[in-house]
Amino acid sequence: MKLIVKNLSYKNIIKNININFQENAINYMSGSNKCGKSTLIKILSGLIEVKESVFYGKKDIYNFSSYELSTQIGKVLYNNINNFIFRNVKDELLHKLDNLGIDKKEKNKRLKEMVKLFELDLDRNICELSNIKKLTLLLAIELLSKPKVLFLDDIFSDVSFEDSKKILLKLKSISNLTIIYASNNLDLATIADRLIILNKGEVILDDDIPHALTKDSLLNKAGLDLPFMIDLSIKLKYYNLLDDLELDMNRMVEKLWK
Amino acid sequence: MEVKINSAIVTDNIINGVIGTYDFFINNLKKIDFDNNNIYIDNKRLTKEEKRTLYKKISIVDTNIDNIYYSLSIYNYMKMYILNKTLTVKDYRKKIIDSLKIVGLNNYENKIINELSSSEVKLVLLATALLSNPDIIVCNELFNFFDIKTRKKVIDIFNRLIDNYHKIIIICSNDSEFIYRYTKNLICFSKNKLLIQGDTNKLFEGNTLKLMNNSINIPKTILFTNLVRKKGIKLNYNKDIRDLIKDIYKKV
Repeated sequence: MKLIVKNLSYKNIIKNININFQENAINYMSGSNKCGKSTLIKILSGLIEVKESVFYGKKDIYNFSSYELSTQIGKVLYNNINNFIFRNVKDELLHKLDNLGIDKKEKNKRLKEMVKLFELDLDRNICELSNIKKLTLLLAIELLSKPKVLFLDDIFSDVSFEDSKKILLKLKSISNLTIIYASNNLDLATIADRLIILNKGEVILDDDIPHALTKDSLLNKAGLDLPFMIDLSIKLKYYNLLDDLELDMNRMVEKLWK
Repeated sequence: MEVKINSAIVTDNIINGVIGTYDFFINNLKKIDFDNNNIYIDNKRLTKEEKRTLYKKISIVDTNIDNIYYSLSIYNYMKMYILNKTLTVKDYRKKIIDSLKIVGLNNYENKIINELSSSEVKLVLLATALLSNPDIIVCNELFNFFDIKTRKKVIDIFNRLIDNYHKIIIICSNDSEFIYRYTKNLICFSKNKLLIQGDTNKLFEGNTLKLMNNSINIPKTILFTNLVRKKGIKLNYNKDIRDLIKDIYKKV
């Protein structure tokens, strides 16, 4: 589902933003602290109501019913990690399924899909789960309703880079899902398809990856560090030591010292 | 001052880092396990009473504010902390405002926690930890939500606390790049045991394989330098990518 933002302003936090999010892809939204990322995610996911600025297809989010909002738009926010009602994993998933109004066969199918995708142990006590397991459970719960768009706000901050990468790649493998991921660093940006940079409530960069990642001075100005291999490649290119971006460390060393 | 908690040694003149599976280390510092710790200050073993006195001087900056407090104002949340910890405070408002000022949150006391950004929530947690005027400040993944500017700002605050008040700062994080850049003494835990400790630079640069075998991430500048060194080229270890580039330029 196409998500379009037109002339969106909110208080003094978001200033006349226009974004055409890439459909069925990972849209990576970044910027320094207090640039407006979390507020924008709340507006786009319907948590903050704004009229005539956010459109899913041709429909204004303001006109979405609460059922549409909760089934078509998924969201996992940074402070959701302990938002569970039940003691065990299976009960938590079944609770969501029960509220979807789908038949038993479909319920079982969706449950199996999530167990397989995230390797969930249905009998585990949620209190005993690590942060990463809790996070995958939250994602599984959101995905049970088969949302068209999934918002992720800084959810990998307490998770290692390798684990974050693994989860994001799993999410990327799901068809017909547009992901909007917000973070204050660019560590996982190479996995994404599009990069949107906010600075003081304005969009200062909206471009495809990896092209967007080559704009190092703009990104640095927005208070962001580039991923190590991209940064190294750009700087080595500047010194004519490398012809193109190289993301593999071994290959870069081989190219430099043939 | 040097404090030895079980086998882990931390000092008050530098920023201490903790990496690896350190949950039990933090739990050891919490009241529940505190009496069972072997604690030494400058090589003197503490008695049970002395340990209890020390416990009151430890503040742990936890990972997040519980969701049930999100509708409170910062002032009410911090006041509740003062009351729960039975801290002796004459003027709540002044104490809270002063603590918020230290972390750069001026005029924030009446804001509702729910309205804050993720980084501001973390700064409130830090300000709350400072309310008890602790001697030891333990930060559990505090820096994850901070951008570069805020990270530097908080590190500057810590350096001031070390230089002016001899506080012991312990940063627990699995962001190896950050730990390598900002800490001087490093303690590595693996499988709930102390794996290795010492000077951060020497520890990362000289024990890469051992750390990797224990699932501890190595900073990318070190991984890159090690790869180059394997080819017989003597590249120096650099924390800053700009210094690394200069070195590569000389050696290519």
